Amino acid sequence: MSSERKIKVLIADDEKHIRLLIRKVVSGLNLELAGEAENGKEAVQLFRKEKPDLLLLDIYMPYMNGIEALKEIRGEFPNATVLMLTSAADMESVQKCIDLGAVNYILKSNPIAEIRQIIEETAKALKAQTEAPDAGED
Amino acid sequence: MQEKIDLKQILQEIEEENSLSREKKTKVSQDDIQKILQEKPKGEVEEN
Repeated sequence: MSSERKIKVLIADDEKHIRLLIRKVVSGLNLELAGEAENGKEAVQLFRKEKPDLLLLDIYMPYMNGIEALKEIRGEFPNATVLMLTSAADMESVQKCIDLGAVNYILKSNPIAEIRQIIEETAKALKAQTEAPDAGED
Repeated sequence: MQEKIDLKQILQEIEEENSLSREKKTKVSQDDIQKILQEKPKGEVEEN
């Protein structure tokens, strides 16, 4: 049997209960938890150390917010896959994160099933990429 | 004559101001976000 490489996920959120919830989603989707950060600064440090396949990033965090962390991470790792998971439902934040290269933007106000689905779809797309042969042909 | 301070009135005014400033920010729904993302050319997830 082939040993499957799991998608590594890093969670960055200052709220403990959100981290717990997302941790459960991550393990339920059979993804590997690379680590948990409580603020943007920690997220950047952990990203450098763990180089996860996917980062789930909150915006409102102490020391360094998610937008600043996204900017720093994408500046250093242009291929980083970052999925915003936040309660910031304003157009300015959404646009800024998309411009900085976030692959998706999930509102925390969504039902957990929907949040789970978006994470799953992103992980599946990542997995397909990592398993795809290097050839650039169809 | 003593001037009466109407605390209730003040609180109501503050609340009104707060709700007005909250409304100034355009709120988006998850559907709006997905539409914005669909319009955007794909490429971010792609690695070479």
